[in-house]
Amino acid sequence: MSYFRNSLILGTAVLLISCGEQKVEHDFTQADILFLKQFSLSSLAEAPKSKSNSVASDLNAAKLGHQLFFDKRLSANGEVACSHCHQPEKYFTDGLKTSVAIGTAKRNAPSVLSASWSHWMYWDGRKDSVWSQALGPLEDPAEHGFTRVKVVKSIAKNYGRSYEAIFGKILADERLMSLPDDATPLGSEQQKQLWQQIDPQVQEKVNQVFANVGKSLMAYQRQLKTPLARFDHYVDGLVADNLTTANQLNESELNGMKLFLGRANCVSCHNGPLFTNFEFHNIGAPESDKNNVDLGRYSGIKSLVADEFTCLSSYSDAKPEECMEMRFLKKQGPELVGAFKTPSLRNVSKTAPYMQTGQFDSLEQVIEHYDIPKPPYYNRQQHPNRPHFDILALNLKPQEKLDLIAFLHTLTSPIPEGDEWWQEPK
Amino acid sequence: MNDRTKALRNRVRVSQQKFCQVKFLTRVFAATALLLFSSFNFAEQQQQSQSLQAFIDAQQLLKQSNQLEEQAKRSLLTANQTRQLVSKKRVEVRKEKDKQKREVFELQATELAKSLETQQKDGASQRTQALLLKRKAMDLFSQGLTNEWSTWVNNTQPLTMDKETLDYISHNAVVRSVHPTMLNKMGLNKTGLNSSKNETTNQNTASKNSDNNKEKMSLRIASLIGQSAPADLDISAFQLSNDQNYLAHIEVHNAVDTEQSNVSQVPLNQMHQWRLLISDLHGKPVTGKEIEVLGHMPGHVHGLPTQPQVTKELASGVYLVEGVKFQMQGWWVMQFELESPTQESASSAEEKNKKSSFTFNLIL
Repeated sequence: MSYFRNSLILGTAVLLISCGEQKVEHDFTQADILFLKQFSLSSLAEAPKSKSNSVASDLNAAKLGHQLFFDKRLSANGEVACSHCHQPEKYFTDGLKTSVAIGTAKRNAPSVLSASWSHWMYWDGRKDSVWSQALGPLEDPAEHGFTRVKVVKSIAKNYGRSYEAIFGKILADERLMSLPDDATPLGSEQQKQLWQQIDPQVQEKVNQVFANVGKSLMAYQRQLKTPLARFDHYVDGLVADNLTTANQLNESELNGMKLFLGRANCVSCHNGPLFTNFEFHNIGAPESDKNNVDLGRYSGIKSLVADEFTCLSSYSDAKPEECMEMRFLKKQGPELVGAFKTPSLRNVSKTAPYMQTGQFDSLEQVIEHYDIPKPPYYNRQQHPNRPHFDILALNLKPQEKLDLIAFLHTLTSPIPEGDEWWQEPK
Repeated sequence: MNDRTKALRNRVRVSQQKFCQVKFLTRVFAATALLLFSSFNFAEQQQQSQSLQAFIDAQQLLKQSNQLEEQAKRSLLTANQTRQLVSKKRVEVRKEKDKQKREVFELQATELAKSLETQQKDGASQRTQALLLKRKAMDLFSQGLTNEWSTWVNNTQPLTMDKETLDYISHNAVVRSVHPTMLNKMGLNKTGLNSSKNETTNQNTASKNSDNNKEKMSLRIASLIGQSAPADLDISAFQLSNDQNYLAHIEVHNAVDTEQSNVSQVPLNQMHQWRLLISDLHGKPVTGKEIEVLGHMPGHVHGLPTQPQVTKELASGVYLVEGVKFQMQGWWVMQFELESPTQESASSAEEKNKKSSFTFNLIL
């Protein structure tokens, strides 16, 4: 057996050398390699099961969601789809400081690629599932500027058959058509009034269809797979004891990796194959609007508790006791103030600008901030308490900063050209 | 030393007497039982009486420990007063111009200083003994609970973090989540992480010379660097309540459908459940309590990532704690505050302050 394996390795080595790829030496211990393995995309487990969305893994729902994700008809001006701010060619971001759709959004659009692994959505975690999150932009006046009634009408008109094959009957046509387009419980006073005039049972039905739209969009997003990046090939090479000139990292990138995982402590929060712990921290990124400070997770919790589409709601497919994160939600604590969710660092070199309102234009600026961070802005009138501060100065040398940036570039995956899920549906 | 010997002798005598009584009673009882039921489980009965004895002995030790602690307090208080007298006397010595009087004062001051030393030594040794006795009492209480509650107590070790996690997360967080006021108190110098202190403290890490490109990868940075957990921190899974009225024990509770059976290892970043056992000092379950769960990291000035709750009583005195999650390694403090329903309605602040609480220190 071992003879067979040895000859196989030898054979592979010969083959590789003959192809111009030479085996490369390294000085990592076996424990180091095991440790590094935890960061490779190859180690990424399937997205956790969604108890609140029974169609999360349904292929038909994913196909419907795929259509919806790119459908501009689901907006007030017919020009905004989810893909407007989550553009596949930009790794599902939009390259803007704060997103621009019908209006200008308050924060930067995060990539959707790692969302399926997170308990919390948005920078402030004000939604507890991808399906519930997907409903937010549809009714946000600055984003799609639509209403749930219009969404339901649009689904009935454009996707009736595929929707009903998954979720069952929408609403009797005449009943649906009689509903006022502008009705939503989240809009202006007038819109709220219109919503209140609708029979509660019909309201519930509308909400159910609306929730199902979110669930389909979630099913779609769960299909999005990120190809391996250079970093992953490198680690996989180490793991398979097959490190060659083809998959190795250069000296600067390796130094950056060691800094990232070691002395610079980035890995403290940016850990696992997606380089995030999905937790909330305050790193003291500059306050964009000092007259109207962003309280981050503190306000996110308030919205979450009031949200009508959480795991605990009647539109969720989970039993209340299964909603662990909501049941044991931390609702208070000084560390919530001004804290934002740790973003994934996958493809980070392609998703500038950075931070919740794009305060930093480049990775250089980000590293500068971490190197000598300024404590969070504090305004006694606006903050419920002095914001917690989660980072310490690094005092890196100029070359070390360059190394860190070089390492971050190795986390960029190629755009998967042949992957239909990454393209607009035909 | 005398006190200690006396105390120990007393204890032996008391326990011998009790043992004789119990032995006699057990014999009589056992004989009757054997006559009545041939299949009566004598061994179980004996074990039970042994664990009951453990509680009785433990209480006795605890009482002695408390008395010693009281003595220690008195000794130290007296010592403080003596110290003031010594200082006063020395001032008198300095102010006194008459040589003879000065000599007398000096002699008095020396005498006082001597007795101060004795008082301080007494206080310290009494305190040490009190602590020793308390530890012994806790050992006996733990044994008693383990025997008496054998269905529920499966873990007698301090809780640790899941070993598999430790292996690859041990690099995690030299320091994170630091309050600005703690910057220089976290085992780090002002300039941050690139400190020589870091190098010396971190024995597991290979060469840290950043100029050396050949530096070893090893990332095993001791996770407790700078968190300054006291070396003698009590991390036992058995604790006495602050008012010494109750005993508590914690362990990881695994749902029936999970394969994991380890009751002392907590997972990282994963919600899990605990069992909290509460008994009185006789080992009898304490039931129907409303319990508030609190937790924080002393070194990081932040709390738990979730709000755990006691959701039900699995059996008398066995409470299920759900929603426990630790998002990082390090020194954690978990507190359980007991509120009996009647106490909750208590209006006076004094009554409210009286609530019992348990504190468990964990080094994860």
